[in-house]
Amino acid sequence: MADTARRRDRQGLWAALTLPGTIWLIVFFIVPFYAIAAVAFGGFDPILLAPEPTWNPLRWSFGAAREVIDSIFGGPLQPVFLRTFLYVGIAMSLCFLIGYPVAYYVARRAGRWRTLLLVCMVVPFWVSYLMRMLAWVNLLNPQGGWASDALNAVGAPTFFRWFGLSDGSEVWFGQPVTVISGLVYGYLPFFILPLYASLDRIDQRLLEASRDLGASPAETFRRVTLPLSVPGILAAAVITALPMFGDYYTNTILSGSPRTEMIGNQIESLTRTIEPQRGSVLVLVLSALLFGLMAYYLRITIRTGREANEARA
Amino acid sequence: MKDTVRPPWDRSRTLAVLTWAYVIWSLVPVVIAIAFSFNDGRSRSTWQGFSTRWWTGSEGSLLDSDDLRQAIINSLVLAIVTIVVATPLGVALAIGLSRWRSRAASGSNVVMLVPLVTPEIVLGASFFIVFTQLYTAVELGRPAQIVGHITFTLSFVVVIVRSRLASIGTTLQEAARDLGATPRQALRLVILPQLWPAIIASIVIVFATSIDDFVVSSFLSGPGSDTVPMRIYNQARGGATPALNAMASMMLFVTIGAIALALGALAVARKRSGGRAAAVEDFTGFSV
Amino acid sequence: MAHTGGFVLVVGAGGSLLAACGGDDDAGDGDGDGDDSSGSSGTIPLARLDAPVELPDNDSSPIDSGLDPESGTLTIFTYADYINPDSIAAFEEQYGVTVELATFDTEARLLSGLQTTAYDLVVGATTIGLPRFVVGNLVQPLNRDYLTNFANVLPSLQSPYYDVGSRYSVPYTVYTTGLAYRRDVIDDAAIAATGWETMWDPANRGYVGIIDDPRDALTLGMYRLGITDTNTDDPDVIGQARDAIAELITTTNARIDILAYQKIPEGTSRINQAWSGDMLAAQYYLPEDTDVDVLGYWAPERTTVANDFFVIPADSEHPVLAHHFIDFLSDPDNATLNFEWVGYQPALADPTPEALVTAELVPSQLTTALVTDEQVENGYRLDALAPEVQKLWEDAFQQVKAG
Repeated sequence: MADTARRRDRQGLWAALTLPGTIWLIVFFIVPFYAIAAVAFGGFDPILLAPEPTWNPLRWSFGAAREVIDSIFGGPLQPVFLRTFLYVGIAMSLCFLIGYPVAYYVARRAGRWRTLLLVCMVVPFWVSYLMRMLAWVNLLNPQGGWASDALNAVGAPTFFRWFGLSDGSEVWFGQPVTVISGLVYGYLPFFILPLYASLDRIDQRLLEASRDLGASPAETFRRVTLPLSVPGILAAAVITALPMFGDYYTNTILSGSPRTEMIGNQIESLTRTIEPQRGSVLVLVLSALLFGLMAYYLRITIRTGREANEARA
Repeated sequence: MKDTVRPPWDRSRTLAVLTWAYVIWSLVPVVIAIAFSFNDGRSRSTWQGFSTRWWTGSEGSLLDSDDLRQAIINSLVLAIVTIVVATPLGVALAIGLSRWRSRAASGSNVVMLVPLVTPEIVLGASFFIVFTQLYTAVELGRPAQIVGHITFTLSFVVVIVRSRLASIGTTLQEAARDLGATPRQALRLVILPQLWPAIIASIVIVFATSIDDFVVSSFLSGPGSDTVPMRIYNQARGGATPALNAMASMMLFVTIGAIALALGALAVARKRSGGRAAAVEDFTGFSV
Repeated sequence: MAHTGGFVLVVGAGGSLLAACGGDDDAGDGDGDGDDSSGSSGTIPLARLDAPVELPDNDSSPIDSGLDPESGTLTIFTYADYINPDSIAAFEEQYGVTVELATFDTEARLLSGLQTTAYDLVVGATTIGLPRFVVGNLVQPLNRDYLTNFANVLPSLQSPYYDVGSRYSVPYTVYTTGLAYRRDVIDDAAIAATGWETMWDPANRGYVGIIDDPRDALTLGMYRLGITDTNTDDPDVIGQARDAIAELITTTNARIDILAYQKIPEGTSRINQAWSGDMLAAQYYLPEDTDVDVLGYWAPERTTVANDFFVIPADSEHPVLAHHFIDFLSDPDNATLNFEWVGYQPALADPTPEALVTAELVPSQLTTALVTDEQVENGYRLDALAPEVQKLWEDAFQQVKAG
């Protein structure tokens, strides 16, 4: 009896501790999501050009939503979506190409420099993202920015024009390559650290075993290290891809040209002006897109986790 | 020895060169930006000699500009209020979730994680909509910004504290109970003291996240509520002076100072609670 | 960045945390059908230069006469850099209050801002939004008793066509829309010869900018095509204008913002569609080693002419103080002080444009940026549009912005 009462009392305490935070999240996180839907599928005041949210889902209308969807498939929003995927795709590839070797080196080969390198890799976490962008705004200034001058001196605009990422102009603002580089610069630290953690966690004995069984270093890397770091790569990829898809400030601050407009820019400008309805639809579309990404990632993670366990057993 | 197994490209110094090039590329622009706050001219890209005129003592300098000073104050107030509310809320939620077994608990377990994987623009836009359409009592500006920041930093606190709770285990707490402590006493005397490192780490993370946030602050901004990142965003593109660099540098120094302070506190807390894990772990969530 | 920090935490704390939210997949999806989403109906009076309108009563009434100004903080909603900080300081001192500024950068943000936040005063409203503000009960009628300097308002704007009897608005500035350019790159004679077409010159690629406003940006396209019906409801015309601007963006990689007054002096822009006031302000943003001579402004004899005005929001908490602020800036001396920093010509009889030139506040080559009576009489106006027409313009501009 006393024991049951005590358990109930204890459960009561834990429940009470959970309550405020949970209520907070419901009121300020769940409800806002619902409000987005209520605006996206709600009405519109033609005089004030303001949304009139419809809270009852049975009375939702999908006119604005259909308009936006149409515009994504074959309409004016199509280039924005394609561009966003292209930029994020290229930026992610670059993150991998730069990030993997760096993470690998720090985790496995850095020797006495390891601690120093680790500190250097953590530092960007504590520098405001916008300050890091500000640094590039200054360096790329067409009026004597150091990076701009250096890049133009080596003919970089022509180089990037081959890839269609620049129009060959010596003005770096407004070029796709600038936006993509900005994204890589901004998010790479967030790609490297989780990857580093996963590489660091790989059991050294597995690598030794591989060598003892006669594998060459290259083979060991290909057949042991690389497969074991796949979950880390995926984690790092999701961590960086998700915010990149919603990014708009990197783009605005480094470009501001309609030729580099991404989904985030459209959401930002629509939501806060007189078209919040369309902005809300876009928010829902983006969330749906990214939840898909999440689900895919989760499946892979769970599977690789299971496989790793089986392999160990 | 870690040197025994090498990938194919490691025949030369390529890896080392690449890594150091990355480090330079990632840090040098920031150093240059700080340096230009000491430029003796209006330009943010052409060096015109050393001066502290953009920091203090001249018109438009950081300390003489109400706007820039106000942005720093706004950022700090926002971060501090967020810490004061989000930390206890998050610690309570973490303890509750890790001990309370019920359907509701697993539900809020899931809800709690979603903000972490929601892109900021989705958060910002939905906050904006809800504060303008539904919670109109919360004014856009500092009040809304505070609520927004608490909401998206809450999850960080929970995650950090929970991973600490998991590593602590329940043994001590059960021993306390066996010795006759009430759950409240166990909480106060056993759990909380062991949580200090995680709580300090949470505070630092919340502080840094809030200070750094641009999207949520910007969507929820009202009169006179510009924060430092918002100022940078709004002015970087136009004819801003090196005072903008000075403001950004100032915030960087404040952040670094806060972290140093927290590291000190953490060292003390660790000594008391006997933890031996590296500081980096609590700070970034990585086991190093 | 904030969120990535969060993600890192999640992963660092052991990938399992991410797995914990695997069950959650409640993303809204945006397809569906049904097409009935219009809200309340209603009409707004559409004033035109040749069809003046007296704006109707709304649910607000003007404040009583003879009240003392409130104390505390006066919150002003305005464009960035649109009121001289020194003028604000002088007002603060005279009335023992503080003034707080909130900024908008487009007419659309002004309209949505008025609905979401209680400001005390708006500086920079235009004819495009005014009837909506009135019908939507967002602004209150003014009490002329507090406006002792009202007689100083330009005679042609004392009872303007968009607000006959000045019931809701008091003019603040008057300006034209033209081209701001760098005279060290583009020749005065050349721009006079090619006019609007100069914007499309690929030689300036990367250094071109247009105003971030659907009406201003699209009329640039219209002017190029020789169309001057700036309030058109013809979808074809709007479409042509859109295509012209799209072409501009393709040929010159033009950027869309309202920063001409900073970018032209800084040299990061060589030619910008701009408001005349922006070029008069630009001299205060010149780098130390750049001569004021580099700033140029061109506008044809007939171009877009506009005047911004003060309105007081219906939910203003300091309406008396707001009236005093309007009156303060309508005073000749205060207006001159304000002009010294803002660069936008006051919509007042005194100071006259000549006085501003005499006071050496206008560089000689920039007298083109001063608005003449002739321009006001012959100017094209951007006026309020019916909701469905407004949407045509907005949509066309959004398409331009999507690249």
